Amino acid sequence: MSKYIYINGAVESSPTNINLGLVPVDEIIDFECEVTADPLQFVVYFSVPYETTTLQRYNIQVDNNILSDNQAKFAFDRAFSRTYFQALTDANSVTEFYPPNGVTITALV
Amino acid sequence: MSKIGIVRDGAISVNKPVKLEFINKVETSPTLIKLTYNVGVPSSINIDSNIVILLANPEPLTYTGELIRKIVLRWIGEGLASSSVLTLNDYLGDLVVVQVGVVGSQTTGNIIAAADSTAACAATPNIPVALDFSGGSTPLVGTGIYLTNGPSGIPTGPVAAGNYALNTGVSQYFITVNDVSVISFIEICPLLLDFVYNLQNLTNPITEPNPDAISFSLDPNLPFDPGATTYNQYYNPPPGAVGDVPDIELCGLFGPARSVYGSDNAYWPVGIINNGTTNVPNFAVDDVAFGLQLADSNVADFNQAQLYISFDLNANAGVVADATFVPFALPFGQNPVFTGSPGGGIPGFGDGTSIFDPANAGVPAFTIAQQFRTNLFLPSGSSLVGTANFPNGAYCQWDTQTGTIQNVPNTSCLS
Repeated sequence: MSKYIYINGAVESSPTNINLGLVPVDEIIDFECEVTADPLQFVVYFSVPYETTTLQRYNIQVDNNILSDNQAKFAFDRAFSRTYFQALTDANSVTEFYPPNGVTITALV
Repeated sequence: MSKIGIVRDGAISVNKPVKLEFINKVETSPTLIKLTYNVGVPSSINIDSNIVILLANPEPLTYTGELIRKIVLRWIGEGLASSSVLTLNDYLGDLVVVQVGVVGSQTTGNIIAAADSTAACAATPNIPVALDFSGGSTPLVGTGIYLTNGPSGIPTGPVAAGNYALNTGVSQYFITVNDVSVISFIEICPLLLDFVYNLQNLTNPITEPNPDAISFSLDPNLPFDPGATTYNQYYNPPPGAVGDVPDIELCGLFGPARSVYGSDNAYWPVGIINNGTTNVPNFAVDDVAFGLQLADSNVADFNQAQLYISFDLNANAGVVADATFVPFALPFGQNPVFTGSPGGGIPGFGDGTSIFDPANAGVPAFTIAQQFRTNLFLPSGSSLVGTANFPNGAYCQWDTQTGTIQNVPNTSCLS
């Protein structure tokens, strides 16, 4: 059975959440917040048969009243790691991912 | 589902999944594990994916590359046979995983050990490193840093904990690296410029000597797109005025004709301010200054000096320490040429955008980078930092791709 992680733009309690992307769990080989000039980006790398490494890149907005960029990177990576391993063990085919408090995903780019 | 294992990334305390299937090569050293995947592709087609695991190794004589290879193969073998997800860190003994994953966006640079900020800012780093970071701004605290095999940025191991000077090619920093190869402190070194050429001080007539009279040679016939306005057409200097002059004419060895201050010179900006008849730049409005950092502030030699440009010196009341100077490098095809410039190009050069000719503003492939030739005049003066003194101006040649001066054919050029 194929499994997917839905990437939501805001924290779970947000009334205006939207799905920004769909991540195939079985194809993930790495994920990490990467520091670029601006903004911070969360990148998921895939290894797909008959292709070179592909990726999804999400722009991230950090509320620096709550988290520094450095704290946001760590919090985001830990949150996604938890969701990934939950998706592996869940019977459900879709697992929802919500960014940590203080972080918003603005776009899949 | 495919079989996976876990590697705990010590730098960020995150469990990372690592696929245990489709690995077709395992490379190890005392500080590195590299897993190469070739997912269902014939081996003759090289489209591999790599996972790199960097290790802090307190006992390299015990934990050799060969022993680490055996450990990794055991973890892979047991992980494939187990119904549980096994963690590599549990197999590694005293080894500490400091980074794990695909080598993504990164910046290359050099480091060297430095006792403190003062030593770091005066140092010349020469040990190649890469940082998990891109974009040219200052790296964040928390950015991973690792040793590499050179400019290609292929990681070879973690950086040992300690204090270092870091040079990224744009700026120099004093950094502290913690025991998981992550920057835990960073301080930017002040840029010490030996010379500052503030174009605001250049108004017609510019006469010799003038300490701000830096001037560049330009191709008078570019851009050459059909219908485009060329450099000469835009500024319309008198017939015979030349934008690119050999040193024997520029430096006035045979009289003043075509010298940088002369009546038939079309170097930018001095020749244009003195002799242009249309679109002459007004640097009382356009905030442009150049800077120069000598290779050694105590040696009067322009060779290997680095050119800089600023777009906010006068907005900061002429205080160099408060202004932003970036290397004056003009990579071909980069648009905007300068992200800090109000128009993306150089204010007062064409319309100040990355494309010289306004009629061709939509053409991204042709930027002002092609118009600059490699000749440059630097006026006389004394270093603001060290003891270097230049009683005469110089006719130089610079690398437009890096902003460094490569050759100084004439060191007795006007003043």
